[in-house]
Amino acid sequence: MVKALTFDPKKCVACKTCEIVCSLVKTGRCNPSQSRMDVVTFDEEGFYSPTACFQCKEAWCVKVCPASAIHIDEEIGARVVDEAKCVGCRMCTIACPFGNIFVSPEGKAKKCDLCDGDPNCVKFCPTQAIKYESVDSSIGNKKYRTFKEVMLASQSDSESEL
Amino acid sequence: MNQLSKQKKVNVIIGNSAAGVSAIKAIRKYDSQCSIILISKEDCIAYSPVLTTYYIAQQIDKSGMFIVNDSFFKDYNVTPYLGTKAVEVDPDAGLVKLENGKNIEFDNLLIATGSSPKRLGLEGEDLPGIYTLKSMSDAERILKHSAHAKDIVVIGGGLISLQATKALNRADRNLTMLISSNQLLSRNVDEKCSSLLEDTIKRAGVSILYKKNVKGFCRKGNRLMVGLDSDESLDADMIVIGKGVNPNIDLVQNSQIATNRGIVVDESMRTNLPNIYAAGDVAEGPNILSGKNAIVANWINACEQGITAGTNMAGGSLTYHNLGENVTNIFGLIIAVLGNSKSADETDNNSSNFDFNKGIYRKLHFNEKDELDGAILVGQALDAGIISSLIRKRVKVPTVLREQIVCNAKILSAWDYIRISSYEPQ
Repeated sequence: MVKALTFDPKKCVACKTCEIVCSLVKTGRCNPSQSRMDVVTFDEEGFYSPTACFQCKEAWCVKVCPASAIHIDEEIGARVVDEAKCVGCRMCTIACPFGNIFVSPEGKAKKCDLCDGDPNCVKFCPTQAIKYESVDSSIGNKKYRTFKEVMLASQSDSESEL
Repeated sequence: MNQLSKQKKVNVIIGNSAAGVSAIKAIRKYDSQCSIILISKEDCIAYSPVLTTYYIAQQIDKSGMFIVNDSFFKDYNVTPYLGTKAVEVDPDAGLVKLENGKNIEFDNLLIATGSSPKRLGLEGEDLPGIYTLKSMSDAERILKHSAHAKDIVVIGGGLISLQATKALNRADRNLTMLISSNQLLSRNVDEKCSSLLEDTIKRAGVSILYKKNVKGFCRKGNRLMVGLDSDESLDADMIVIGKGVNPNIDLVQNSQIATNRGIVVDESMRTNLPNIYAAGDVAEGPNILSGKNAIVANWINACEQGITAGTNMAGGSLTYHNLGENVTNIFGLIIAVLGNSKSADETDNNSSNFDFNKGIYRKLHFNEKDELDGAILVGQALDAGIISSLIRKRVKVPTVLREQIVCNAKILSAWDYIRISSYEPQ
């Protein structure tokens, strides 16, 4: 059983602690623009959610990397960038349909690597909107489905409240 | 042939780059038993032409260009014929004929022979010191020669020329770009995008000369001379020509395999013959926007087409339509071009925001049905992947959101993707 990050928009209050923690752990600075975690805010709908790489089973970034610089860590279930190989060509950034990979100012692709199996965002999320939990083997597909269902459900929720 | 070996399908792949390697991986995902034979004119494991300019810039060493391990053929149980050119395909007999006289039998064939740099057909083009850039050996020659080159002329304003310029530019060198049209990246972007690019390149110290057609080359002492239509001439120590690529279709030109500019394939990457496939720069596959066949000579397309061909060769069922998407970083300016990016006319169905001073240009293009079908993202392209997949879905984007997107007020996230694509249920 592989563990994965799951996000609960109903619990997220958009405090962005995860972005700050992520950037601090990964870059040594509190700089949300360099965070691999992204908090999405739709103020009109009152919809907030953390989001990060879904670690897709058939990962677009892995398929297209011209330097073969993204590999799959089977044990943790993470797609991990090998920075020694990455040349910063950005092919992954136009391939990922979720915008979950970016290139840092130093020219290296950055994405969530699940912190070697101990994600810091989870530890510091004050509302437990981010969890690291076991999911079934079709991890990428399942998470995407859940993600879409949550979003669509939340839209219909807010409509019914109106 | 005995019965046992007859049962094992023989998949032959010609070409050892993005499409070929992706196809091998895809075949092995579904079929561990079949035999795979790889034929490549180059005598090395697969490398990435995308990385050649990084090698020339000495950002990576030669080993950094390879995309597979030394053990790749063993790991994937592939029989390689390296340094051997395939010269003819005989579909009726199910044979590929090699340069060395050997015949290879196939059940399924994938032609992934790639492309070669276009030649100008001009006098003196073959003089030493004049290069095109595609292969690893091209890159090695350019790197070696450039060590003593002070004045370098780059001919062409396309992606390869821009990347070569970036790779070769140094404070102690004079680089000049010779462009035949009146803008950079003329086949992909509009004038606004080109103006931002021009500004960035000029600030990096590179000269750009527009509307200059080359007449020929000659040697002048130990220097080279580029003769122009206007009867001007330029001196150089080295010249790089980047005027696009031509698909390598020589192999099939006298066979029943249908060609146009490239080898014509359907969305399964099948040619007009059911057991023969083509993928990558050589293939002319269906475009998702126009529905017509088009050659998209870039890395992403080659990977996707290779995966599609490989899956289908192994008995699976996968389709792919190309979009035409690319991204580059020229002296720090990020440019992503997606789908229909060229349309420049202000009266066209566009939403755009252009800020020359900030180096930002974001344009979305919509078709006559108001569906998103193209984009240019310059300076701010964090959401290029999301916009690319929205283009693939040809979503309708509400006017308010269009403005937010192009004005950079909203960099799209995964949640926006779901939200926007749910406007039009798939």
